Amino acid sequence: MAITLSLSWLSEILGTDFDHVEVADKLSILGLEAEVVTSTTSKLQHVVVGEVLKTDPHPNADRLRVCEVNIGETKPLTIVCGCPSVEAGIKVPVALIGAILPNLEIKQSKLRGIESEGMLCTAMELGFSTVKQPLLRLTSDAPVGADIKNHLFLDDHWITIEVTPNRGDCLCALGVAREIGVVLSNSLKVKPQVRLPFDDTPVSIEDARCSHYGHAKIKNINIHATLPFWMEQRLNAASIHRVNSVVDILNYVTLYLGQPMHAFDLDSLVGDVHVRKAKKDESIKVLDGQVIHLKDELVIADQDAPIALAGVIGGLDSSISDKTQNIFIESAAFPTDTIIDTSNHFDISTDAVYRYSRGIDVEQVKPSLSLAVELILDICGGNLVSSGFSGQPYLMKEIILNTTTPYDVLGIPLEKDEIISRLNAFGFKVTKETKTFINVLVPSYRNNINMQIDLVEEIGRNIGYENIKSTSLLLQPNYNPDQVLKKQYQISQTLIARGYQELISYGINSLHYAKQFASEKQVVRIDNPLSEEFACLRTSIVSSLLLQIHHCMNNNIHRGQLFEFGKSYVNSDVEKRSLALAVYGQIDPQGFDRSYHFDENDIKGDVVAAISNLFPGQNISFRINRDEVPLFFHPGYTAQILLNNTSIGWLGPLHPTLAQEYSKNIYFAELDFDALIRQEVAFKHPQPSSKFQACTRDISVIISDTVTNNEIMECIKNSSSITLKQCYLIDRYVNSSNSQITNTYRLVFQSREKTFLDKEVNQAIDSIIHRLSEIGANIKESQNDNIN
Amino acid sequence: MISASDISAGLSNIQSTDNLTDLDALRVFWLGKNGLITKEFKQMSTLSKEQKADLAKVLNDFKSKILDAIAAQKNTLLDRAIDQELSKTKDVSLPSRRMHVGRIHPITQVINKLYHFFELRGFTSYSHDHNFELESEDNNFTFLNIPENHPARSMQDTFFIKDKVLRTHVSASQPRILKSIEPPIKAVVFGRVYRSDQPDATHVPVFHQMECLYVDDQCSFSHLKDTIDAFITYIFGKKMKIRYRSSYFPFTVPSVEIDVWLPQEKKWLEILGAGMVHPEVLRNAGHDPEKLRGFAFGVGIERLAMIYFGLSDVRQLYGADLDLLAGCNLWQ
Repeated sequence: MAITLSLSWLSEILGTDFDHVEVADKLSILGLEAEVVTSTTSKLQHVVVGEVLKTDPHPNADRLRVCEVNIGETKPLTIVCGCPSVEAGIKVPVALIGAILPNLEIKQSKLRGIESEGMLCTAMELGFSTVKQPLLRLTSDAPVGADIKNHLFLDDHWITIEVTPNRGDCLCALGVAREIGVVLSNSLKVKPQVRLPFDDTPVSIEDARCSHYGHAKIKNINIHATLPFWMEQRLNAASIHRVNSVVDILNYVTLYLGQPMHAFDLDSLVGDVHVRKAKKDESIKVLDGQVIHLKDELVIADQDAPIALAGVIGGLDSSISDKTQNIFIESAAFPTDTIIDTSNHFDISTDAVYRYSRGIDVEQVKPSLSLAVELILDICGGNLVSSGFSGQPYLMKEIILNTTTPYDVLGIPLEKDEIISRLNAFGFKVTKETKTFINVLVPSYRNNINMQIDLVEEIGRNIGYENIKSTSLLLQPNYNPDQVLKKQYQISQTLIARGYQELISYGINSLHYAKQFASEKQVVRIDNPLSEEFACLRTSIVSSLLLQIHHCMNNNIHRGQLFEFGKSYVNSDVEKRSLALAVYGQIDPQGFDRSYHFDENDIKGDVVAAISNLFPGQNISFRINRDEVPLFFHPGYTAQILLNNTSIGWLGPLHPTLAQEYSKNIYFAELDFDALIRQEVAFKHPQPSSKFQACTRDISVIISDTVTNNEIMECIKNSSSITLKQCYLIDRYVNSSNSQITNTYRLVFQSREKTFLDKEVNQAIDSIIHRLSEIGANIKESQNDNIN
Repeated sequence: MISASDISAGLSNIQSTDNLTDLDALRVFWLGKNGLITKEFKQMSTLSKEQKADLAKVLNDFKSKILDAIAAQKNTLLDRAIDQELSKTKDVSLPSRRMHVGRIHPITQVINKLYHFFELRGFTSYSHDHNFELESEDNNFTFLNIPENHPARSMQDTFFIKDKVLRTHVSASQPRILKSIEPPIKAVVFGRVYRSDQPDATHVPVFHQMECLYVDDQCSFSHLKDTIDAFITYIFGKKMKIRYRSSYFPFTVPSVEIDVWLPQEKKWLEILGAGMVHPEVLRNAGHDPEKLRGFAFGVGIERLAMIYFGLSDVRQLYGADLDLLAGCNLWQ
């Protein structure tokens, strides 16, 4: 969380001015990422103190008044004002023509026919109040004509600090001032004091989860009192929501000292207040309006019922309202775990929860209460009736530090004296030293320091990591390539050369979309999704590519060759790594032959090329497998891809239902990348090509459409009695009248040992023809012409 | 009988042919099986020895004149053909065929580049093992010293899926690696991580991280610095001005963040988080933190890609702006 503080306030606490930017840089190095920001009020220009001399009704508008305003010039200004609180004799801020306010610029203008030479301002218009109020009345001694920024000390800068969760102590001005003090080697000038008598009977603590509880009762306060400017500015800097004077003051104390505070309406309380465990079946209506049913939570209760969920949220019935006159103020320490459990259980997050869950400074419980009482008496009037406190004195945590540990961890030599002085800089005290150990006391505000290593970190912080010299690691090469990255790279090289662009998608889809790619039962749903659009994990990378293509098509991109690597999820226990490819549209939209469109054979060639590049010389084949085909593919047009007869993926167009919604002219392939990684293809040394003459024969077979090319090729390869180097389809003719298909294959025989004799080749062809006839492929004519 | 004037007429015929076919026909006319000169040679058998010698001399002279002329003319014609071919021209600006090339995605390019750094330093990259996007809460949080209720758990807005989470950082691989690899450990992990952020110019619900883990019995912050200095120099291709800021991660102590000074923008840019492996993390994996120490550091891949390619909106990396993606070439 970021906290924004007024820099003049920090200067006041430290008793010194400092270079804001330099300090912000040094705080950043120390671990409090800080940035100086210009306050909204410091940007004000041309706003001066003015005295309203007289006001007249506007001749043309009932609600407006025409005022004469003295700003110290010879001639008073005429200003039209719409605020009913304007009256002669008051001093107010006047925005002159050309003035720059946070939300507007003042220009000369006519209001219902009368020229207005400026604007009388409220605090909200000047940007230092978030509350809509009447005109800002300045004190009667305000010097007429003076720049409002000088008069109200508005020329402030702020510092915004990102506070990491371990540094709850820096969520307040005191904590930040302490760290700046380390930067400046300065101690704090203003320190919180305890000036309350604490002589009242303390609140009884009946549950050990509360360690300290202080309270004060004040009667006859004015809840409508106006806060002093300086306090208002400090609250504004921190963007603290304004409620009423008492709550605002308590928020100010929290912002200052870090101690969460709460106030109850004293008149709503019955009998004594105590801290106890909630009883079963008790309930409380809390500030945000919801009724909470309690079990055994830590609560603050009066005689009858709980009045607050301790450290989490107050009760509505006991809360301060604008009619409150008598108050009961609480300042207490509750443990982190209790607060987090309760707030999580009821899903309530408040500023108090935020602070308690990061740990508070027990030593500030009393001073905070003291300061709150002083401020309330000062601002809201009233009289302190009583104050009480219960809790044991705080015992500082002690850590024993081995003096060689800082060297071991940081890697630079450190003498014991240096270790001690560096720890002292952050407020740690050393009580005992031996040769190799020191006993370190941890200040009450440093809840995050629990073990030796935490002290080492403090020492490192104090030295500045910049100043730790580096030492080379003597690394031994250990060549053990990442198979996933290597294979992905090799496949990608093939694909990009063939025109494919790699994409990366979120991979989180709507349930509606995901259901089109897997059964609803298989879709992995996020329990707490961002939105309906991002509710499920993808079950296939194809779904990601289809979405991307859908967007491309909507953007009039008429072609695409895309691929994506990534994980997909079918059932939550299966994490599958895949590669998907997609092609659609014209192959060469800017070429001569624009009629040529991508089809499944294009993507098939790319898949074969990519796999062959990875595993040279291996057998890749394709077959229909209606039983196992993923449900988003067209089952009759989609091929299962086999590498050495093991399935590694699928290739084809979309299922007709998806095709109807998107397009039937997109072709996809999805490869099981895990299977490719697992593929154990024995590495064979490549052989030089044969020097003996090859013999080529063509054969044509007549088949029906139930016999596939793959079956015929397999049959030919398996039936040859001599080395068949190549076999491929060179012609295919489909007779539309009788659905007879004629496939012509070219067979290339070549041996490494000799040139085959015609006789041997003829014998091989004969046995091939015989086997082909067994699978329903009958030879059309023997073409025994030797091509060569 | 062939006369010298016949020959000179023949030679001039040869010299005036304008193609190789005609030239070859003339060769056949004079010197083919039934060519004029061949015939004369054949008829010589009836002559006396002296006549033969005289005639042979004349015929050989004719023959070599014809052959020379044909060879010369052949050269002339070939030269002429080349000249003719050379004088032609084509519109070479007509469209080409299949001119599309794709490119590896910018994020993958950055990963490949970073991987190269670690590969050469003997680190093992785990993409297949110990690297899961759907993780147990223990690996993502508890074993990394982020117990339940720890405020740091709310630092990261986590997607939950039944009893698992979509990992919020690749550090979730640390417990797995620490438990299964014998030290010394030199590991690097790349992968996708998830946070429940609505996509905007600087946030996406899915992004990529790299994390490096080194564990040994002798290992200090000083070693971490050396590795990081080299890493940053490698990333930017030159020595950069950097600063170490103290920071907080539950799984490292001391923890730092490292900023790089961008001279053109005149600002510090946070580039990576690092620290010494927290003793609790080692203990959770069954190691004795008194005997073993380690360091770890991580970097957001998208951030690097955006710097490298001058992108202003991280969502650009997750879309299909093909022109933009095809323009991202890290090795330019």
